[in-house]
Amino acid sequence: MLGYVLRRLAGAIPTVFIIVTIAFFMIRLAPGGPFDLERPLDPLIMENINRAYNLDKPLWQQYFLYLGNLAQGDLGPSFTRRDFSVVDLFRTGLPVSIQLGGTALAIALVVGAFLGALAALRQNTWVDYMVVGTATLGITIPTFVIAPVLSLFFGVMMGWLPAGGWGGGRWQYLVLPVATLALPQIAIIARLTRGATIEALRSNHVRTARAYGLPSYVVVGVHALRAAILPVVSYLGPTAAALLTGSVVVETIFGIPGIGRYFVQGALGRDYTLVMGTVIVIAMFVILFNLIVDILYAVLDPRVRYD
Amino acid sequence: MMRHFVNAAMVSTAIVLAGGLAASQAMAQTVYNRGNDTDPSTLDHHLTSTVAEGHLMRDLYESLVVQDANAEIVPGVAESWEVSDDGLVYTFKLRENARWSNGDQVKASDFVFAYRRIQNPETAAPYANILYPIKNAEAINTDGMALEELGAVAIDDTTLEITLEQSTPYFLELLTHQTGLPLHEASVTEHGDQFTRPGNMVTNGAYMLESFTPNDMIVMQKNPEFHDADNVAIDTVNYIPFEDRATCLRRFEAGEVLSCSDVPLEQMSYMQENLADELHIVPYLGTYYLPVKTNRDDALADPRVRQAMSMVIDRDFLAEEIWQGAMVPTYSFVPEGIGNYGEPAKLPYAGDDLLDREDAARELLEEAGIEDGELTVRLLYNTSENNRNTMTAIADMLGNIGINATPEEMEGATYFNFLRSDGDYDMARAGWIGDYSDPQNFLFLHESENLGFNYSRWANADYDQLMRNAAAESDIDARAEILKQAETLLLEEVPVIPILYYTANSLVSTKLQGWEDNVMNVHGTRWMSISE
Amino acid sequence: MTDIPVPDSDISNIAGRSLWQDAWLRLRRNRAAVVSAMVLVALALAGIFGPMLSQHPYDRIYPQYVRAPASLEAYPRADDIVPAFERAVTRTRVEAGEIEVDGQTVRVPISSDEPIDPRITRYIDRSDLFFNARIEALSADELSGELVASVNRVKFYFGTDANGRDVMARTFIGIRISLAIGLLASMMALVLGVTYGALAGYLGGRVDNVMMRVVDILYSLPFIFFVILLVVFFGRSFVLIFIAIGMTEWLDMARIVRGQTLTIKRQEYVEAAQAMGVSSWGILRRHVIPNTLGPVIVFVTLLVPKAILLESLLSFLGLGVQEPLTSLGMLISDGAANMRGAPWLLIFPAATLTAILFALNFLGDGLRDALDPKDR
Repeated sequence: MLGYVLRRLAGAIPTVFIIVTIAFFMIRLAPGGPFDLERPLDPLIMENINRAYNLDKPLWQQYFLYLGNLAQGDLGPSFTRRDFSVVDLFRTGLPVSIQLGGTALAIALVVGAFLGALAALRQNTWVDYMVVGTATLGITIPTFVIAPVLSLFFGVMMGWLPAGGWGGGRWQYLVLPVATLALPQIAIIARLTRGATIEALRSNHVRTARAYGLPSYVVVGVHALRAAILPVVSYLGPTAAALLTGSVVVETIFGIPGIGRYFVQGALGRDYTLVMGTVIVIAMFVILFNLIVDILYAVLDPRVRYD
Repeated sequence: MMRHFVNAAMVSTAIVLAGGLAASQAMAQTVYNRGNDTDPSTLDHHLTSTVAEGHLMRDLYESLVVQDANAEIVPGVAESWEVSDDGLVYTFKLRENARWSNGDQVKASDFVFAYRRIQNPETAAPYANILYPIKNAEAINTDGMALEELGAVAIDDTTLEITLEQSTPYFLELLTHQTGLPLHEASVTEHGDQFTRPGNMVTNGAYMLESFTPNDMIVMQKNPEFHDADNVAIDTVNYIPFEDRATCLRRFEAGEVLSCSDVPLEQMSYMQENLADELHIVPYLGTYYLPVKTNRDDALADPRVRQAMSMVIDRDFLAEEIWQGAMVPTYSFVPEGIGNYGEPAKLPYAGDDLLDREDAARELLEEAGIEDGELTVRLLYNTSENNRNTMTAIADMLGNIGINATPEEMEGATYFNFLRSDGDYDMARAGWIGDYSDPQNFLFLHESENLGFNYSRWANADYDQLMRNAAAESDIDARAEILKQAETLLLEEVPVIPILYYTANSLVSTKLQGWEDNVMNVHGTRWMSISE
Repeated sequence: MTDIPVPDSDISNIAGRSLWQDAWLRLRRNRAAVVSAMVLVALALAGIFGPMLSQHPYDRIYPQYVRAPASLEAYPRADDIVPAFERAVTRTRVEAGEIEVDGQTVRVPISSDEPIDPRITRYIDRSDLFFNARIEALSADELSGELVASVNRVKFYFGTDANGRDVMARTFIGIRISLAIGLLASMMALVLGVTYGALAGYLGGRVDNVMMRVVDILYSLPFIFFVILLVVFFGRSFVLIFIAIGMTEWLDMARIVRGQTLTIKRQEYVEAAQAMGVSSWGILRRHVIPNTLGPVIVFVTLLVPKAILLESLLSFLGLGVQEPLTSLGMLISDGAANMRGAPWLLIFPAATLTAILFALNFLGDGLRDALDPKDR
């Protein structure tokens, strides 16, 4: 197993390298540049700027310059936030996103799995219908509707919680964005757990366990849930990576200084270095979490072997 | 005995003062949470260009002259100035007590340093051209002339002499723009590109930088060294960026911010009903216009066709219904209320009924030999709900005179790159917000050699000549007359169709005193106070 | 193991019913699924035929009815008729008397110093509120007469948007676009994702490793630039949007199927089939893929809303469907911005999307149960 993990980690380096290369040229192929703003610039001044940022050099030279800096852990200066290097931006933003996304993920996992298992055990009863109904509603309503509604109700009308802002990450400021992020995930996890638990309850080894007269909480808790959690785990890999690297909508609507906005801000503002930085961070999270998922698979299901 | 008494009195006064001071400090640390459009791209004002950055710079730095709460020009670092008779040489007398936030005196050389740095091509300042009226500035920035040749000289610590290329009636106005601010030479030299970091940054305005967390807030503290610090009422300003205007509205209603620099137009009717006292809609120096491609060999190259399209656009409908009253209909390109100008020129059919205008437009199309339904135009716009609604409505209006118009959306950076680089469009949208209050700042957009701005690629020798004549004219009234001829010519040819004036919309809490509405939309925090 | 001589296909011959026929029978018995299917069909029909049957074309602008609230009653309201008529008459620049409203017609006496030009009726006809304007009882000197017009009664059950377009007609066209995008993109994700994931999981080892790294790479690439480039090189088109969405959505699907496959390929029946020399493709088709269908179907019901909402993100970035077409996602995001001033802009499209997704969900659950091979 350790050998497998090490091989996978070593394999991550060429993967990231390929991602960096494709992303670099893909971004540069898109029309427009970091200084194509609503306010146009004088063409001669534009030349000064391009020279100052090495944007006048041929693309392949810029690519090797970038790779050289990257090898030293330098992601370059941001084009649209010139007081900061890309590394600075992640240093302040990533902890915020991780705190927010991590809390939402933990809550979604616990609540979602519980509700899903409950619905499966009480299949076709009102409990089941309630869970499935609310879960569906949770998936249906987009975050860009839930977020302003929550902020409006709890922040403006009731005045119980701040309507927005981060406040250094104090709990009052966390509640509404976490709820917004967690709701759809609870819904999805509950549905996946429900489906998989129903499947698992019918499987041979659970039937066998039942036939042996094991108490039902053991059957459900150990045998059924363990098998049921597998599809949830493979869903969680990319989802965790996405949640921890921030959500554009939630961060914009609640005004949270995470890194989720950088991707869209960077893409629309053609902040090449910032987008590349985001791509690299996302890639690392995706690779890491997929590795964790694969390990969990082997742990949870002894039939899965990596050779 | 007497002496003893005096001492006792002094001690007790001191106790009262100290106690009072401590109490008032604890009580009255006034904090102003101020909504701003976005984060600045940088706090190095030589590299800034937006209005949002202007707000920050106005609080951090003080220029030679500044705008007061009503945007009137008042002395800043310069306590007085003289202008030579030919309008070419400005001599500023700097106040002795002007201080940087680290206690250093603000000297004439700090301005010279700043003005040379912004023209240095290595600085790559996007807005260096604002200061091109200073002698040799343009040559230094684009033609490799030595920095020392710049027409800004420190005669001594408190005397600054600025020589201009040619008489520029709006020069003082220019100095209030963020490009005209000084820099603290020692700290900029020492810290290089890190000089804007909290701790490194030295400023001479009413406030100094405390911290800057991207997408969260910029915290500024009152600068105790500021020469007018006694009259600065607010101790801390937190600048909060709001990309989503609706978020600012919610936080404003929840009492978390005291002002919003912009408002969500979709909720205009809600705000007019519920926040009537807080909602400020103020005319602004900005024009929303439609460039039409003129350099191709097709129907749109014919001014009659462009004029016909301009005629049938119902500006009142756009302003009232689509923009919910957050825009003002216009038939001129230069905004009303601009300095050094008077009434702008107007399209002749401004007062006519729309249906009569449609008849006239059909006649013009007929003259130009265009049959009903023969002309098809694409209306290009950059992504935004309001642009989309505007262009959809305009397409419908053009349909009334038999022009097939279809709106076409393009993502932001692609769009502006496309327009700038002579892209192949029919009609597009653009907006221009004045940097300073002078018609030249609007009319220069359409000069034929001005390729970065002239989206319609309209080339008219007479217009160019008029603009040159205006630049050479030192009499303000005569200059205004020439500029007006230029605008009239522009409106005859309509390579750009002016449709709306921007307004500055903000939400301002009734607790916030000293926020005066003005056409430049400048609101320095030093003029404000908070009442409970 | 060797004492099972009959090959697989013969068993199904004996049983006489295929997996699909069997599933179909059981699906028909599931009432929730049947109702859901009917709702979906009804909505799809509304999407296909609604725009044609609607009183208003989806791109028709009514300048006089901008942001008109949803209502069962017809517009114009009684108190709006006189002022609107007055405004229209003022534009004709003739002297006008008292305006009278009589059921469906409005009339006003007019007079002028010059002969009345009969073309002034167009000022009235131009208004959305009136039609069939005419001059009656014109005096012989043509200096006075009576201006008569009919009131144009229109209904906006869902209200109108910021441009004065009927939200109901726009919701219909939105259903058409969103369902098409959701279904096509999910179909693409389904085919690509299931095949790819099952192959990777089944083949295992180095092949699996490389295939999944490719997924990682695609997952990390900046989606927005991918779409911008597609738009730049191929122009904006409807097909591009669903390709773009399908291209990103199949990655999750591939991962889930591959995970399931890893478990399934260790099952006794797969090992049995391998021992009997059934080809890999045969095993994938007959054993692996059918057994992954449960989670796959649940996931597809999650995919459709994801695809529909992803389209609204694209629209938000200016890369989605082009005006005057619209999608449910776009309508909802416009509605969310307007929720305090004009709630009907949000409520109707959002309710429609909710109905679609509920129906999809129950249908998905029904399908999952019906296709479950263990339940046969």
